[in-house]
Amino acid sequence: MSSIKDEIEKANNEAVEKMIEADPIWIDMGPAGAKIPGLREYMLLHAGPPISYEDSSGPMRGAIIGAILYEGWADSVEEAERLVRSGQVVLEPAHEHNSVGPMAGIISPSMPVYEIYDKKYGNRAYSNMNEGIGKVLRYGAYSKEVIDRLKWMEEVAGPVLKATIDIIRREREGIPIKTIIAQALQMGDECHNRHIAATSLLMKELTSSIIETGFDKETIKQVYLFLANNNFTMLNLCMATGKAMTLAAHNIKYSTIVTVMTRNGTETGIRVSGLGDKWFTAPAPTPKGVWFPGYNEADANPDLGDSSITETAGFGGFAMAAAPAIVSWVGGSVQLAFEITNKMYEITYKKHRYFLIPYLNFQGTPTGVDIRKIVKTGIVPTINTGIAHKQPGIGQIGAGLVSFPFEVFKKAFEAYVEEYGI
Amino acid sequence: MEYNYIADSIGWYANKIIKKKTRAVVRHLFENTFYLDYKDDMVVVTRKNYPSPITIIISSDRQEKPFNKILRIEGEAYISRNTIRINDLIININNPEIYKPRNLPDPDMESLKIVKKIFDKSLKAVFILYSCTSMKIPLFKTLEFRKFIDEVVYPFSRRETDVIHDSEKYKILLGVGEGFTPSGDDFILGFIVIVNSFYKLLSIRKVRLDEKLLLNSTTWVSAMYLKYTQLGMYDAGIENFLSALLEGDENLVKDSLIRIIERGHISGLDISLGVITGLACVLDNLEDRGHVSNIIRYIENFY
Repeated sequence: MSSIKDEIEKANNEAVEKMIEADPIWIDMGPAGAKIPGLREYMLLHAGPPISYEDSSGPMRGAIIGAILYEGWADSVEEAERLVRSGQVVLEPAHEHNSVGPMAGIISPSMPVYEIYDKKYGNRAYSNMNEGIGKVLRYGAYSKEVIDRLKWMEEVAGPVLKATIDIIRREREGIPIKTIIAQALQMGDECHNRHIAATSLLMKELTSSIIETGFDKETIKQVYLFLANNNFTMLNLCMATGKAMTLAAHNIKYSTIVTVMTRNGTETGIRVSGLGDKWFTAPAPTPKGVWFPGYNEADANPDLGDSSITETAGFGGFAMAAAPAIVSWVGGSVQLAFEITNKMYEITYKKHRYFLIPYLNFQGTPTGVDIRKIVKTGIVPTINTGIAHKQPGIGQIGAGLVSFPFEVFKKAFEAYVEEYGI
Repeated sequence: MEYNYIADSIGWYANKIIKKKTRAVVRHLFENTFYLDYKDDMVVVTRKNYPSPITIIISSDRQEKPFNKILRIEGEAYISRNTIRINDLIININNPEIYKPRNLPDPDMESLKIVKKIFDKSLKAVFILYSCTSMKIPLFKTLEFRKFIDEVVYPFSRRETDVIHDSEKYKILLGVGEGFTPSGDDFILGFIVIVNSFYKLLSIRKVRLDEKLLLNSTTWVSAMYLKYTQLGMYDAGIENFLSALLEGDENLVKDSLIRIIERGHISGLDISLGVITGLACVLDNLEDRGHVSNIIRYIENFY
């Protein structure tokens, strides 16, 4: 009979090896309703653990209302609220549909989504397109300009990207996002809140094929500039890639590795590989950060978004030592960025084989958050994040750092102790 | 350059020592904590918020330089009415809060109910957490540990109570393992906390280990911690655990045990194993048998 130590060791090694060896590539683009399993009409996917409209924070409510208006299910804010409060519009966590979205993370059936396919383990993961920064749906804004942009993404940008990726796939399997992340980490990105190199690398991959799509020049130029001028274009692709990686590590008996860390603006939630699809939740903390002019901590909403899937998969905030320039965006010092990465080694299972940090002598990033190590050390994962205004309709007001609450890991550990015998 | 600190809190016993003795030397020095040797007594000075009867918690308004960059080992501490001065470090002790532990009630048969309730889960949790440490040989896999179980724990669990008062028996484990406070000492500390808390219910005397034996068997700091523990002077973390246990609050018991486990690299786990072993002896003594055997089963199945 194997001992508990051996069982956990074997399971965790398998989970983290799968996370590291997963090989996600971008293969397709299409409407979320056609691509994402289980997403149907009058259903919205959201970031974080399950939540009702009543319990949702301002930006989450704003994004829900915006998505309902965008879909044309309602003509007014009041009607949109009535639909969601009455249950006619259903809310489900994106994670429960192998999907992820930044901040409010709302994905509605008409939105174009990236389809990521893990060649190694066969999983598929999805994310919507990034709208840019400022007044955008994911921060709870739903003015006409926000809805118009979403419509343009659906009707113009999405189809152009679909045609582009189809052309790419005539010659190869798709675009290897993992390789882009690995390169970008060596070019000063950490691939959660800094994607300057990653977006440039993506544009290099897309350029010749986007020209070949046959769309008129003006359309191609518009789409190209929309993607190239938004430093967060790669965020959603990196997130879907992170989701595909962590899906490979999920549902391994005895494993204590965290496979989902996420927030919905009210609660923080995690899932653990060996504990199946159970959520462990606690109130979401408010990030500390650098504020856009005119805003401060009093305006901030508690932490929000599925983007912490990047840290769950071993990059993002855990790779901050690779991205010293990020401190100008999220606050802190270069030394702090270095210290955060170093601290995360204490609560993770192993070092990544492909995501390397030049400043740390090409050491691999800390990968595979282990609930045992968090309970043992009291150290919790630190991530970087955008900060939304707590009122719907205003948008992003800063960026900063936030730590996951110890409580969620403690709850998961207690459930683990219940679940597994020795 | 002078570094000025204010004492936010002083443990009642530390306060007694500094009132009585005007000189000490720095015995151990770390980034945030240092240990003052007052001949037969020890005072812990720290920036961390871990109150205990022997601890002075200090803070400063200015950017804090690590103590090991300001002080030196064997540096002399001079204590006056209002300050402690050690090299360039000055601690204002004018108006601190005096930390006194709460008066905990003696455990009764009701307390055993909660002990029984939390025992299995706590035992399992401790071993699952041992599995993530990088130690090659944990304390409980050493021959010394097995000998201590056979010669002290098992007999005591069978109500052979004399054995726990034999200081010589503790020599088996004292000083075993690496570290500032060796693993064996941490285990004994946790074990004594429980035995001395339940002594009335067990109808025994409190354990009092010979101080000379302690000093000759392990590190000075560890011997001092054990000396104070057997006198009922332990930190707020252990006190919180005992208080939750005696108040019958299952969630608080679990939370406070986790706080103990977090300490140091492995100290917290070794203390917790001592606590759980102590509780197993209490249960075997006063309730049904088999709890110590259960621990042994976990140890044998660990790897």
